[in-house]
Amino acid sequence: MNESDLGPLFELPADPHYLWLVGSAVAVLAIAVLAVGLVRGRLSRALLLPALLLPTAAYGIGYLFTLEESKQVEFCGSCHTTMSPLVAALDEDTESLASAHWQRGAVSHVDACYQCHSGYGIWGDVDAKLAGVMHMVRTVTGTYEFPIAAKHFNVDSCLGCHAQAVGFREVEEHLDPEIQQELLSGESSCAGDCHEVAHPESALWGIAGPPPGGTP
Amino acid sequence: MLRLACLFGIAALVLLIALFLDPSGYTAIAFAFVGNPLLGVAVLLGMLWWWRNAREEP
Repeated sequence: MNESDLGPLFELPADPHYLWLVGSAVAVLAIAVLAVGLVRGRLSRALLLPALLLPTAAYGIGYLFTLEESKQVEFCGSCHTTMSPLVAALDEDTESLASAHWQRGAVSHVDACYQCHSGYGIWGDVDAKLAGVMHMVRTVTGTYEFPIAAKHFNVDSCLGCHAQAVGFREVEEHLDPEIQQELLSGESSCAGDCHEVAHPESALWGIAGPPPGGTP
Repeated sequence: MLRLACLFGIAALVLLIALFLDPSGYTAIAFAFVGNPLLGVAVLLGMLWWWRNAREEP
């Protein structure tokens, strides 16, 4: 069934932010001021300060906008070559941890990637943003390898939701001090080691898919 | 010099507006790795122009 046929109850609540509108208005104003300088070859004293402040303010808003917007699933999936198969696989019943969480609504369909890959708390956000910058650098320089792999997955992302859950606390393995230590030290991971893989193997190879003859 | 500064500034702002209209990995890369250096050079050129003008004025 088409999503739009389900009715308004099944639509995500609207959560608009108008940062882009404010930023665009400041940017257009800045362009107008700079256009005066471009045409005349000089700027009056009254326009000097706006010519400096408006573009920098617009870029400041641009940074805030990017920080917020880059949490969206569509943003992650927009990197077609590498990320789009991972996002597409969320809708398929691949039995991976990601698609299980996605299809049960255990993660928000707005920022699911960010929820799981950002760690927990403010430092999780900082780590995720730094990782995002490195993603951009690797995309520009082409220094990424298939299959895509998270170098380190912060188990706090899982624990942020699961640690307080009754069902999670009742599992015997979760109470084992050795397993707890391994997970917290990063020696082992929830995904792959005990539970299903985080993402289907085929989606980790980008749009080209796994190499012929199977994965090495 | 001011004309060049304004041109770079406008180019940087066009990239910013593209990001606002279509937020994606590619527009974010253009904003971060092309727009920022352009704006930085524009600000430097603009300040250099202002400094030279201020020195020449009696």
